Amino acid sequence: MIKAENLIKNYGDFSLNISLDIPEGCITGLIGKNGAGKSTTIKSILGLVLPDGGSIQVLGKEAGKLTPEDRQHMGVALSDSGFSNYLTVKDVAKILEKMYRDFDREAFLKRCSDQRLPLQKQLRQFSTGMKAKLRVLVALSHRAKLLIMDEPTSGLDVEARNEILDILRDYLAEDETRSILITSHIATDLEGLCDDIYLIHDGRILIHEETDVILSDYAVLKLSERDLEKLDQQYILRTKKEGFGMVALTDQKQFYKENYPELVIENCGIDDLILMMTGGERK
Amino acid sequence: MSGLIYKDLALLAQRKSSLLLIMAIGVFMGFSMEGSFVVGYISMLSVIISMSTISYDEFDNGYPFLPTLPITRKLYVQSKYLFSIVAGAVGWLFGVLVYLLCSLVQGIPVTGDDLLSAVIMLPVFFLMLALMLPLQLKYGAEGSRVVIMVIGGCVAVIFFLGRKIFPQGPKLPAFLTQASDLTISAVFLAVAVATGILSYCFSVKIMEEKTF
Repeated sequence: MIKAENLIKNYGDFSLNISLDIPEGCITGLIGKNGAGKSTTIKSILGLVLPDGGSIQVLGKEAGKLTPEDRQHMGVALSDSGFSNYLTVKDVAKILEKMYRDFDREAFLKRCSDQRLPLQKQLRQFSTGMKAKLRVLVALSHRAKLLIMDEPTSGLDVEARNEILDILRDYLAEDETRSILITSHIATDLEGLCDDIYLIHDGRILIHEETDVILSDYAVLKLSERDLEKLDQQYILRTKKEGFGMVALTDQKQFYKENYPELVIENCGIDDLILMMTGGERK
Repeated sequence: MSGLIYKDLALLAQRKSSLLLIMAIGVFMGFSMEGSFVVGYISMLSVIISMSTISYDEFDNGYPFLPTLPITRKLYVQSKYLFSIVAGAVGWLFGVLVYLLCSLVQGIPVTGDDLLSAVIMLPVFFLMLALMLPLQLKYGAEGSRVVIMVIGGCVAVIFFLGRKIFPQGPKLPAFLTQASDLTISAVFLAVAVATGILSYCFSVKIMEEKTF
């Protein structure tokens, strides 16, 4: 569905240089801190910025050469951009109806009503959460094969975030060939949704791993500096000094469980992964 | 295209109070002023209001989302030109109607000169569109205003220097002084259309090269 090879984009001091591959039927998360390069990646994929090098294929075509017909099969939700705030949901429905062949007006308006979005009010009167929900519903409104969502849960409270993630899960359950590329700096949002995760930092991909593998094989070891020195470090990815001693990130939890039964080993969440990979010392 | 036009109509509907006010002032001017000035007034305001839909698109960082819809950037430009030209033409027609009705009600004869100056307004508003649309697409609402002020300033300076250099005014070629008003109007219209086509090509290039 999406294939980027050595995609390069330079903005002053910032330089993006990544490769990624999102196959059909896959939900891929792109995680990283603010300013890591997530939005630049999304904009490059959508043809909103021109890459300085490399190639991006979307639905089998060069990103810059996507036709309106190709875009019929794509649903896009950007974090900070959408329809004019002076329109109403009913206006948006009418516009979508005229633009997308597979737009289902009744289903769209029903979903909006289910999410308690007023149909006749201007969008500028909506709360941040309501606008975010509408952006997601717009992306899902026309049976798109590929969803590209940039921080769809940004700035929302837990309840609104969960509602948006539930909407996405329902959408995927309808057709397993659908794919999603979703970015977030809130890693827990993606743990229960994504098949695989790309961790991006300073414009580079630090890790690409299946979510299940991260949750089952990665771990954080807590130990003293002296114990760390004695440890077999061949499977240690990063270390970091903490108040009580050292923490170490490994992608071979079982190895340390079996060989160092006395060690404090904690399961690794995606938040831990981000913190260690972006703030830890490389081994 | 129809989706984009509908969007602009929906945005224009948000300004219905401004539109009603313009109509009311137009009718008032039609009754209180002689000549066809009201035609120019309503046409110009129609063009300006129709172009404000670009500002609405741009407002709150709305621009990056539009190219993700199933449209081309060229189609977006076409929709803006079509919408603005139709809005200007509708405004012009309304202005002409107001002028004719007011003249009829007041019993003022409609002169050929007044009708010609009303017709001349069509290429004038077309030229205005041709200048403002690419500027607005390139620099946005705020930026284009600054650029127009700079261009206006330059024109004023050139005019001032021209008056200094040619106190009697420039000597026009004979074919211009001898040409009928109708011929001049036709030439003016042709120039406006040519400028419009050039402006459209510039606008397409601006949008196709625009990054967000």
